Amino acid sequence: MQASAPQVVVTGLGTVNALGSSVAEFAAALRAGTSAIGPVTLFDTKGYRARIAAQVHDDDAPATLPRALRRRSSRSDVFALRATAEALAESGITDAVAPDRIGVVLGGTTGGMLRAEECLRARIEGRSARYGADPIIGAPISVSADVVADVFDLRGPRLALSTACSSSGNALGTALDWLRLGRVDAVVTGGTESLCRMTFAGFNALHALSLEPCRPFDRRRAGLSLGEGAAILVVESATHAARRGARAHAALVGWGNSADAHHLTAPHPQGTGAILAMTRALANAGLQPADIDYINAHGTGTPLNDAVEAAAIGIVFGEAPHLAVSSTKGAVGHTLGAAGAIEALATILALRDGFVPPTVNLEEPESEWALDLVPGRSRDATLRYALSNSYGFGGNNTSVVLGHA
Amino acid sequence: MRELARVVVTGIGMVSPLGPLPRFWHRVRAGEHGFVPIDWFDPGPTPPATAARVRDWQPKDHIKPTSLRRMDRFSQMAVSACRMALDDGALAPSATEADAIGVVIGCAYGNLLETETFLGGLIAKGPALANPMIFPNLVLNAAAGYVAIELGLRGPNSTVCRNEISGEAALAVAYDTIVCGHADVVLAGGGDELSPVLFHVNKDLGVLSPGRRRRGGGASGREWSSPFDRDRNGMVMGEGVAMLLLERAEHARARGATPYAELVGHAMRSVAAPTHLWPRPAAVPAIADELRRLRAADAIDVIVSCANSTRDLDAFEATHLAALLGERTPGALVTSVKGAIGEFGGAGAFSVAAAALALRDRAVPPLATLRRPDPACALRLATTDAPPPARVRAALVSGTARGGACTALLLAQP
Repeated sequence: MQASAPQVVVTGLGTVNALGSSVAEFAAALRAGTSAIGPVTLFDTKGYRARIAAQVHDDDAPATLPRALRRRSSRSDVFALRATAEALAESGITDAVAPDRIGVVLGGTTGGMLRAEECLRARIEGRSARYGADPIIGAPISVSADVVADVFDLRGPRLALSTACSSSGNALGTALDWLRLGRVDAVVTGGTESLCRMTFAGFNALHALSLEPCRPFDRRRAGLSLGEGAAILVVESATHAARRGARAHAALVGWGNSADAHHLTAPHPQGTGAILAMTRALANAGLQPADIDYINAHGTGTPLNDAVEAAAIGIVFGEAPHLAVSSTKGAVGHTLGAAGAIEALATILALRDGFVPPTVNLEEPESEWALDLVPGRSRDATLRYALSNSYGFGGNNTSVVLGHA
Repeated sequence: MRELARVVVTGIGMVSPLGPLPRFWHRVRAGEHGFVPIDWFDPGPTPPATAARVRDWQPKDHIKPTSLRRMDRFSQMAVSACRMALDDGALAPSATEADAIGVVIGCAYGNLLETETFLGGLIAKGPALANPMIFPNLVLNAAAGYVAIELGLRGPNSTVCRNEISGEAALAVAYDTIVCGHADVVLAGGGDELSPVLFHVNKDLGVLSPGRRRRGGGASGREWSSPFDRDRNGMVMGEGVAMLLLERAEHARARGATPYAELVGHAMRSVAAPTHLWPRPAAVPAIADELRRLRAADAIDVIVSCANSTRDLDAFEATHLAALLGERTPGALVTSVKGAIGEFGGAGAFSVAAAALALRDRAVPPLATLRRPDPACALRLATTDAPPPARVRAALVSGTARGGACTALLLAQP
């Protein structure tokens, strides 16, 4: 169906993450190679092995948010609302399209868990006989999509997808499918995630957290650093964008998804699922491996992920491919359900502004990988097409292909 | 519009409060329900204290012991239902074929029991003793991951989270996965598991039925779920997983499979509602517009509604469906399975299963608990004494979630 499917472009960008409170701030920090990983102050980290993350410190709810919603909104909802406000304001889509022709599909993994934990603690410690309504109501992962749709009056299809750390990659792909099928005229898509004790404790217990800021693809890499934030994209068909004179930042040209069918947390040793996701994404985009100039890798900084991903890239793109590969997780942390969206945003900025984001904290690349891993500093480059990889628990793999509008 | 691939339902598997597929279908048609007094956790001193718990299910019949040990209960339900769906569809894929088979599971909460255990341990004992063995099971897509692992399926794999309509939404996403060319075969459906926290949250929110009203007021303490009844006073919580085997029609034909039904298409739109409440009664014209483009939209003889016996949702559905049907198919018989299995995250997957079965058997499960139809509801309700439909050409599954997201799926004779 690719032949007759419409081209899809990105006409609105928004983000809140530890590197910046807007797309402009994020782009500048990304290019400068800054890392936002530091001490966690959101909750008490006493008793944890690792005590660092890429925490968002500018975390106020939008001033315009009605009081009832402000009380009810979780940290994830607040990030999503702020990123959506930025993306919608820039795209102007809500002035051009009827509310029921705008869909919402977001990725996330823990929703309002941070406050639900407090509420559960109060009940377990006997301080409260009832579950507080607001934190529990706000806990499900689907709520951020509801809050975004409600605040901005978006009445099209509305979904949340949760495939662990590939959640928002799948959200972007689903948005692309909706537009190709003509289900809607525009989609607000992306992902949102807030730090919470449950994920921090879980990764801590698995010994997956690095004690110092993560070093993707480094020989001494020792785990990941968690992060938080949201990235939102407004996507629509190219003809629709052109007709209304909207500025297109990039094109969303294809996606692929697979399951490892191997293990819930460990990647397939031969990278079978990662290879399937990349080749499916290329086929879906109608491209060849040689068309890709840059890969924003999943690159978590865990020993296993980076080794398997590097090998999988070698299999799909050849032993010493011409393309650049970098991970932005040393800069912005692993934002789990938002990672696919934040990294797609980084990839869009790279395509649009002509640079390759660096792998921050990478000093000593593994010698066995013949990959250009862009250590430390960004560099200028004209990129034709780029791929963004996201891999998650459950053995879920997603690759998204982006290009010029 | 471009001609899309046609998608058929060729298999159904389930773990439900009425048992596996043949028993579920027999019991739901006989008007039975799966509600039992809660005795496996403390429901509190006052009603509601009833729920629909899965039964007639042995995980070891479907999952090998080494896998079973690490798998949470919700994932066990999902893997069991998927195996049953493949068996029912007589599909035994080779390793190469399995590489292309997708999985889409809809659930609102997933593995809540272990989430409670993990968080309880974290709060009581601190992070140093947090259990690393169960943490991976807490991701919402653990079930879809386990299905892929156990059945060797490497196709597109997704988990859809859409409160009470997660099941319908998963089937809609799976339909799009096939018509977009990402896969020829997808196991799709959903469900949720009942947990003490979820029960108590809903109890505290006041959405659970406190029991049948007696003459002269008061409640008997025996909970009930009676969609579209004028005296309905809340939902009953349930659990389970239903999975459907969806295939591109040519794929099914090539292997000689007999479909239950064709999944003709779907429409998803939303209306204004606070995140924790069902919307006020309203028409959703955008859904009607979308449905009108689909084959068989003028031949809807049966509607499986999401009506769950709450005042709000049933009132919304009555208005929404009446507007949707309009003058076109006013005789459509409306039913709901929530009076039999209760309400939960992916319960809509059972609605879709019931619609597919209704098409195959030309039979409609009755609203067995309906005593006095709500006079405000102008629909033709499937009461126990309603004459069976002369024909079932197409069946609509309607789902509306707290927060205002609506889904309609259209199924028809294959």
